[in-house]
Amino acid sequence: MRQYITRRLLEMIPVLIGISILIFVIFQLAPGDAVSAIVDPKTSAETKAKLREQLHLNEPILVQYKYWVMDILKGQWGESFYYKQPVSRVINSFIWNSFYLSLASFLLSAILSIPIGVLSATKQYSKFDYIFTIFALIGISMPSFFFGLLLIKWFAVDLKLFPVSGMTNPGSTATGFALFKEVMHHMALPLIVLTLGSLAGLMRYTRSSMLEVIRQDYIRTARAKGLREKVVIYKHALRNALIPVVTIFGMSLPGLFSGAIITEQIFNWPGIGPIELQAVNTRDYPLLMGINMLLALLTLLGNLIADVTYALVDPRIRLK
Amino acid sequence: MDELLIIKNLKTYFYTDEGVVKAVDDVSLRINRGQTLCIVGESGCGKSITAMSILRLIPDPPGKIEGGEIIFEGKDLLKLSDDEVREIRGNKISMIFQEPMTSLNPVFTIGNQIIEAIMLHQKLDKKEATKKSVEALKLVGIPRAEEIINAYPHELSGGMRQRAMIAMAMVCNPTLLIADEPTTALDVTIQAQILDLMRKLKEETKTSIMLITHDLGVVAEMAEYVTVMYAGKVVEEADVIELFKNPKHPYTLGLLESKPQIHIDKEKLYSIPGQVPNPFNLPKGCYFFPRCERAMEICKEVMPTLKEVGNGHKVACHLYGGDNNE
Ligand SMILES: Nc1ncnc2c1ncn2[C@@H]1O[C@H](COP(=O)(O)OP(=O)(O)OP(=O)(O)O)[C@@H](O)[C@H]1O
Ligand code: SF4
Ligand SMILES: [Mg+2]
Repeated sequence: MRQYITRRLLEMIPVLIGISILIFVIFQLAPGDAVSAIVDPKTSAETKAKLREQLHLNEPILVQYKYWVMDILKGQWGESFYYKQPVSRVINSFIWNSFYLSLASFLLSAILSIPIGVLSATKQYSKFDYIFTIFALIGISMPSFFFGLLLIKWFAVDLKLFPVSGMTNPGSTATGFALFKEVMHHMALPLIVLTLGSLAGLMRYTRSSMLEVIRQDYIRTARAKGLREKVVIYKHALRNALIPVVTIFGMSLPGLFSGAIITEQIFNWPGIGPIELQAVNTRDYPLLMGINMLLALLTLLGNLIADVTYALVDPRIRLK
Repeated sequence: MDELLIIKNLKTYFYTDEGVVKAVDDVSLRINRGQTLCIVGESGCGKSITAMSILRLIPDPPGKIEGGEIIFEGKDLLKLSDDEVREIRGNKISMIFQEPMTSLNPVFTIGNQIIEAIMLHQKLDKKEATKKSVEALKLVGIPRAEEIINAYPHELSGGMRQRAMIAMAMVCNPTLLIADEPTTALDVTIQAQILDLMRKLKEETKTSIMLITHDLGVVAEMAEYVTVMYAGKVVEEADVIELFKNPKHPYTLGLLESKPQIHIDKEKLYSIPGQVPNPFNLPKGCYFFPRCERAMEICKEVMPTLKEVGNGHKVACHLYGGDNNE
C-alpha cells in the first residue's frame, strides 16, 4: 500500500509539469494582460511600458515560464497583479474560509444523504421516498443565486434570524468559542444553500446504489441466516452500497477548496470564489494560474484518495 | 411416517405491472424426517418461489403469500411473527442458493459470515464460534480451513464457495436443509462432489433435505421422494423408484425421455416441444395442454386435479383416475 501511494505520488510529478505547461500556454493565449486591464485613463503609455518591463511581460515565453515555475518552487506562485502580493499569500488568506464553508456543507450532506438514501431505497415508492424524490428534484433544479436570495429575504431581512452577509460581525473582536458561534451564525444560510445542492445528488446516488445492492443474492443469504432486517440493511447492504459513494467523496476533495463562486458572492462570504471572479475581471493572470494549478494538484490528490479508499472498503480491489 | 414439513395449498403470487403471476398456485407437498425430497420442473415453474416461501423470503412487493399453510414441526410458519421466523431461519431450516458466485457477501470474509450465523443462533463467544466455523469448513472438505476463514469470497473458486455456503447452512445443525439447485452453476466433477457431500452430511446428521433441481440425473442419485412441478402446480409426485419405474404424467414422461444424465450439458436436457406457458395467459384447462401429445377434448376445458393412483403415487392428468369418466 505504502509503495503504491509513493508510486502514485511520483507519477503525479510529470502530470503536474504537463498541467503547468498547459495552464501557462492557455493564459498566454488569453487576450490582453494585466497592464491592458488597467482602465485608469490617466495611466500614461510610459508607465504601462515600465510596468510591462517589471512584470517580465516583454520577455520570451520560455523565459516567462521559467520565472513562473521558479516562483512556484519558491512557494510564492508568482505575484498577484491586483493584490501586489505573492499569489500563495492571497490564496491562503481566502481559501480557508471557503474550505470551512464547503467542509461543513460536505459533512452535513454526507451525514444526511446516507440515511435518507438508505431509507428511500428500502422503502422504495413509499411516501418517504416520494417526498425526498421531489426534494431532490427541487435541490438539483433550484438555482443557488435564487435560493440564496430567497433565504436572505425570509430569514435575514424579514425574520432577522440570521445576518445578511459576511462571515463575522463588522468590526468584531470575538475570539475562541464566541468567534466560532459568530461564524456559525453567519454560515447558516450559505450552508443551507450549498447543502441543498449537494445533498440532492448524494442522496439519489446512495439510493440507487442501495437499490442495486438489496437485489443481490447475498442479501437474501443474509436474511436466510436469520439476521434482523437492521443488520441486513446496515451491515450487509450498506457496506456494499457505500463503495461507489466513498469514491465520490474522494473526488470531491478539490471542490472543498475551489470555493462556491455564486453562493459566496451572494452572501459576501470572504472565500476564494469571489476572488476568482475578481481575478478574471482584473486579468490577474498569475492569481488565476495559481488557483488553477492548486486545483489541478488537489484533483490528482483527490483521485489518489478515492482509489485508496476504494481499495480499503472493497476487498476485491488490489492496488498494484 | 414422521412428517417434518407439510405444505398445504400454498399460493404465492407476484403482482407485476403486466398482471398477476401465480408463481406457486395451490401447491401441497411434504417432507419426512431424514428424507430427501426433490422438486423438479422446467425453469420458471415456481420451484425457487416455493422454497423461498417456506422461509418467508419472498420480496414483498411485488410478491405475496396469498394462502395455504406451511407446517413445520407442528407450527404454521405463515402464522409466526417476524421474530419467530428469524429464529428458525439459518437455525432449524437453512438454505443454499443456486448461485455460489453471488450468494456470499463480497466485503466480508468467509469466517466472518459463518461466525455471524453461529453467534446469532448459539450462545457461543467469538473464539468458540471461530473454532466451530473452522470445523464446519473442514467437514465440507475445504483444505486449509484455518486460512480460508480469513479469505474473501472472490479468492475462492465456485466449488469452494458452494462448500462454504453448505458449511454456513449446516453449522447450526438444521433439521431441514433447502438446497435450491446447489450444483447448477458448477462444472460436472465439482457437481458430483457437492452432491456426495450433501448425501454424506444427510446420513451423518439426519437432516432432511429439500433439493430443487431440473436435472433428473440428480434426482435419481439423491431423492427418496419426488415432486414434479409445472407452471406453478404439482403435476405428479411419487417415491423415487416408483416415479422412474412408472412415470405417468405426459410432462414427466417428456422429462424422462430427454434421457438426462448428470454428465450432459444442462442446455440439452429438455426436448419437450413447445414452451412454458405465458403466466399471464394460462390455458383454461390443463396447463400442459398446448404441449401434450396425448391431450383429449376434456383437457382443453377442465383442469385436472392431483389424484392418488396407487402406491402413494399422485398425478394430475385426465388420462388417469376418474376425471375423464365424469
Ligand atoms: N420478483 C418477481 N417478480 C415477478 N415475478 C417473479 C418474481 N420472482 C419470480 N417470479 C415469477 O415466478 C415464477 C417462478 O419463478 P421461480 O424462480 O420459482 O422459478 P424456478 O422454478 O425456480 O426456475 P429456475 O429453474 O429458473 O430457477 C416465474 O414465472 C417468475 O417469472
Ligand atoms: S390432462 Fe390432458 S393435456 Fe394435461 S397432461 Fe393429461 S393428457 Fe395431457
Ligand atoms: Mg430457481
